[in-house]
Amino acid sequence: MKRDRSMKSKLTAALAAVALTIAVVSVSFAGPYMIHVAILTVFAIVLGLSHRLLMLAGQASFAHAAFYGIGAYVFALSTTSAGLFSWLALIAAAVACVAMAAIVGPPALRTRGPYFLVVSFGFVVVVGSVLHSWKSVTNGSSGIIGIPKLAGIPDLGTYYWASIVLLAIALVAFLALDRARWGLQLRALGQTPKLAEATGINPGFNMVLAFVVGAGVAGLMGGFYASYIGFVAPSAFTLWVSVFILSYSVIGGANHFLGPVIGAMYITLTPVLFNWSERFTPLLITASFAIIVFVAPKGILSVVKRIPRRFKETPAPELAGPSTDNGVTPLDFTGKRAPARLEVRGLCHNFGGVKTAQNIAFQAEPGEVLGVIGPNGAGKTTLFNLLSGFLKPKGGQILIDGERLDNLSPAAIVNKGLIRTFQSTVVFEDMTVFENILIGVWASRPASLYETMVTPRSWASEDVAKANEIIERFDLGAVAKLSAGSLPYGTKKLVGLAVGVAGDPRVLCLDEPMAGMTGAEVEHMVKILQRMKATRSITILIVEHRMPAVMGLCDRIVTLNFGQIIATGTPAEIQSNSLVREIYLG
Amino acid sequence: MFIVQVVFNGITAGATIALMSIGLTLIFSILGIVNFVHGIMFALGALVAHFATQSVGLDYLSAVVAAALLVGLFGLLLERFGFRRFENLVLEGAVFAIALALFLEAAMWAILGGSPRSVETPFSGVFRLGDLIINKHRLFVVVVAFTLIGALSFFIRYSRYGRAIRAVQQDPYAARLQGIEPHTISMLVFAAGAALAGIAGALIVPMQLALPDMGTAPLLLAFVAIILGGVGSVGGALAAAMVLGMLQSVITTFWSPQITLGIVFAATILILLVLPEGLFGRKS
Amino acid sequence: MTRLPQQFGRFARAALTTMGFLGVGITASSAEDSIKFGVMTALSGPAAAWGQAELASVEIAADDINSQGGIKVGDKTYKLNVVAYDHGYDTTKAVTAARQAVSQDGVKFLEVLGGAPMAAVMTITEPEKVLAFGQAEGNHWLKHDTNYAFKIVFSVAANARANHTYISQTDSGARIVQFFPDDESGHSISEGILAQGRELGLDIEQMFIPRDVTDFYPIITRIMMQEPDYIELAAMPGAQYALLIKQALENGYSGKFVFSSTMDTGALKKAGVLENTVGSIAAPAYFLQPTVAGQRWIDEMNRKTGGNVQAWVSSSYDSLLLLKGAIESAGSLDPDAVRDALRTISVEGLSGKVNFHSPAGTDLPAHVLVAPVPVALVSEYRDGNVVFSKVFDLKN
Repeated sequence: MKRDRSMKSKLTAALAAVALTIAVVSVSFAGPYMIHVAILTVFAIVLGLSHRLLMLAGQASFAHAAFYGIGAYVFALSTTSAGLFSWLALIAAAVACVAMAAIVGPPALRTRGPYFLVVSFGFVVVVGSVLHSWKSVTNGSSGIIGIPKLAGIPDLGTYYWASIVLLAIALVAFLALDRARWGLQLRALGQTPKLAEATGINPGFNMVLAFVVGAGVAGLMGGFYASYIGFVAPSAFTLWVSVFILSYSVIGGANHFLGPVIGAMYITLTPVLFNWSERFTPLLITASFAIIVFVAPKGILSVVKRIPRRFKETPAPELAGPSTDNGVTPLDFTGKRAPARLEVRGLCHNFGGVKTAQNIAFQAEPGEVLGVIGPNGAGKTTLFNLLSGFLKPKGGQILIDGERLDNLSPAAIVNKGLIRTFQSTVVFEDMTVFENILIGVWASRPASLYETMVTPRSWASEDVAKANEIIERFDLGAVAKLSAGSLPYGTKKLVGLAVGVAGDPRVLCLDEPMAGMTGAEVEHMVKILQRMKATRSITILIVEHRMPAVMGLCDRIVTLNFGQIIATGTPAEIQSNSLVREIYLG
Repeated sequence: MFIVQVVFNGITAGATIALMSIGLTLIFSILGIVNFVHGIMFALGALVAHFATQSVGLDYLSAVVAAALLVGLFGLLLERFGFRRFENLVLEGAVFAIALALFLEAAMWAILGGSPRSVETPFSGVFRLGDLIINKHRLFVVVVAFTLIGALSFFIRYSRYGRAIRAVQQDPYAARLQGIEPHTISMLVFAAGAALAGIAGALIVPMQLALPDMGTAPLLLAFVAIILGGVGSVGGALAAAMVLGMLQSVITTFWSPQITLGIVFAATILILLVLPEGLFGRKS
Repeated sequence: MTRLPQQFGRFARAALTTMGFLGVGITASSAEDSIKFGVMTALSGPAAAWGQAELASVEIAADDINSQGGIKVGDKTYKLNVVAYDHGYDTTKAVTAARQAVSQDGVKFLEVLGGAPMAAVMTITEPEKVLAFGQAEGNHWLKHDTNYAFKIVFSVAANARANHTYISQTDSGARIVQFFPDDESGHSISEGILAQGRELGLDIEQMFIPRDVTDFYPIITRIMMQEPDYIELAAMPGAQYALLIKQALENGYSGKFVFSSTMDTGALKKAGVLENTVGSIAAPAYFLQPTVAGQRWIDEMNRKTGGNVQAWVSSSYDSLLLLKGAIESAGSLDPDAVRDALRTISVEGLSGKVNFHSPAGTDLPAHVLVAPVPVALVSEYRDGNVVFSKVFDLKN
């Protein structure tokens, strides 16, 4: 693996050197027009990369051109009216956008999906309107002329070099973001939001942060633009500019960080190739745009990437279970937190007229394995949703070692140490098993902003070590590098369990961990759970339908029916309880 | 009396927005397509009406029907051969719609040129009730719009196909289990939405001029209406369209036409911040 | 698995840059016996109708010049070659198009539509010494130290002055409501006219209509509350104001109309309101019917654009005649020489003598196009035609 990586980096370095040489050499041959186009392409690429952050997190925004424009105007005004030094004005441009995004972002991102798209649409229209109408400041539609160049970058040639440097910095920076913890977290949020939230990734905060970072970079680019062209007008920052920035990621593919690079190059360079002065240019450009999106809906890179994968896919190995195991050796993990006591008092919830939880009260002792059973529709998953914060209770309390959980967000609850798994959304399908588990590890390891956004995640040795430990203990080493979505269902569920355990839970809620598994897989899972139970280091709640497993595994069992607890006790007590018998058998 | 005039102006404006937004919301909620091509269909309806009356010599009402049929057919083909590929890819489908809309508009500019076309209406002139001026054609538009919307609501609520549509809207898989083919429903819904847009264009064109970009502004307002009303709710789209039409009328008359769009957007954003799912939306 | 996309990205960049400098080599050569005149305008988007008309006018001028032997410089004869660029009113595209025109396509003279695009293009043409004609309102892009940019747009304010002076003398105290498009040119024009009108003591209210609005009922309801005596149309396309007039009449407007930029009788007739505008006041600098050349130009425009005749683009025609004259007078294509010649030359344009001058009371160079002095006319309807009689001449 190490040799592979150094080969890859050598190849990358060689290619970078070649590209740089071409960039250097070609400028002596290229006329001002091509240099201008190259500079614009660099701007487009950086805009695309910065916009992609929020797209990774699953939200598409039309607001980017507005920040581009705000940055440009801030630069223009602070240099022409306030006489600020150009590089300071550039910083001012970025700061202004960060501030604006920090104000607008949180309320705007309470809406999601198409609603957020329309809000961002509205934002760019409103900003454009302000630029047009606030004549005393912005000079309206006529724009601001005579914007000075950045000090030290006086002409076209030096601008070209400056933009090459800018491109290199941007590529490195966004690649770093992609390789850092945040890159994976954003991707998790965008692909499988519910599961991401259940591993402690706060959607609101991360989306706003992505929005703000993107806006800051866009503002910076706005300053570059203003100083390069020397003139700004509202018509350069319209909704259409936003639409095109969005399309960079769609055309190139948002999944890989080079996607917007490809898309930006395509959109910026095709008009050049088709030649501006042709009458049919708009037709050709828009036609090619539509065709590409039609042929490759997930982006060009997704098509390109599919090809090697087709040759590479080998069926995932069946997991036969740990080779050395007949007894129940405890499944220990390093640095575990002590298990917690979970107490539920008077928990109530309803969906309209349907009472899903009626005064539910029980407790689970530290290290205990508590089973939750009941017929379909009894409210078991609802209970788990209430415990983990995905539903807000209408009344009652949930306490973990005396601390209240009942009004916290799912991510906050994970932080407190209560982790749950899902019945159907088990893993992050498009990520490797290792990545899945690494995300799980982060649930209990908060990191500084620098560590989250800058440090490559492969360098966070403690996190990596912990993930590898989990993989080893769960015997997932053979599949660690494979994509989780390609695994057989039983193995996926095992990975899901591992992800939950990786977060060092004090209370672990497993929602039907054995559903859909074959007989052998169930046996394997039961063995693992027995070994976890033997350590008594996690309080485990488990919803299950497989009675033999439940009876064998649990210390105590709670039985639900129609949202009420009808019986609590040891497995033996429950089995002989007539009420329980009735609802299950008669 | 001016107030009544303002209200009536608002109803007229709202009726147009309603015709556009109802098709749009159905298409979005059932097919998951953010249909940026809707504005083009509006323009196509106007153009069909123009050519039907000028070149083919049809009377106006037949021209409106022709617009409905031709644009509806266009919508059907577009769904089958274009948007079908973007099932479950909402964002990519939206970008495709944008690209397609840009292409079609550019094509219309290239083929038809920049001179605006017009259509004559048989309902020219006005009714006067005291100080109140009611343009006959506008009254016609309002009547037709409400009739169509009423018929559509009735159809969706009580007919078999309407039930099928609602089934697919709620759960395509379950619908399939009941013997409903979601793809057929998708085509029908898209065709119906397109036909509505085409009718809107044909109805409006006598009051303005047919240009390739005439659909952009109605499309924008229609989007605002469906988001405001809550995606998927026909009643919500209608209510929101009326609210927007009234807002436009009031703001233009009592303040100025320039700030109308800005205020409409600002109001929508504020409402969304309080009700993130729109006025009548349900959590998806 | 990330190797292939990385390679792809890098190679793509390298390949395209290579294509770039090859592309320069291929297109760098320009024909020796033609002068390229670039037209940077809006050929797509909302202003496309304006751009199309402007381009048509320029092409008609080029055809006329070429058919009469072209442009003579010394003993060489040059044909005028019109190259069109679409900026869609986007200033970034305008700059890119200008770069292409100047650096790649060998364009030596160009015309730009729109004040913001003009200012954007000038960031390139001024340092590169390329003569640029601005078909644009606005006072910010033409300055006292501007070297190579000329303003060829007819001043609507000058036209309006004739109308307003007439009104102030015959109907002082009248209330005028003016309509402008809610865009850059609309606002620039409105400022000039407002100052002028106030100076003449007129009661003026200005309304701005967003370009895509054709439902004028709400705004008409509003102005009817103020009971205007005159509705003045300035800088709106004929088809749009014909609709406005029609809807105003439907709403019971019984006052007069004032046309300060164009009076598009064709559009008014089509909308069925031509008779209702009898008695209206118009300024005819845009009225090219009285001259033979003007009528011919109108017919050519009709034929070329399919009915999209906009009188203000006649200045594009006239400015090409001025360019021809200046080049021939200077005897060279040197930008400084041609510029100096442009400042002094005058030619017979479509509606009379035209030349560039420095407007009184400004420190601008002689770069602003001067049209025949406006007069105000009042219309009558005679034998199914609209006929105008002069009522006021600003010269007096």
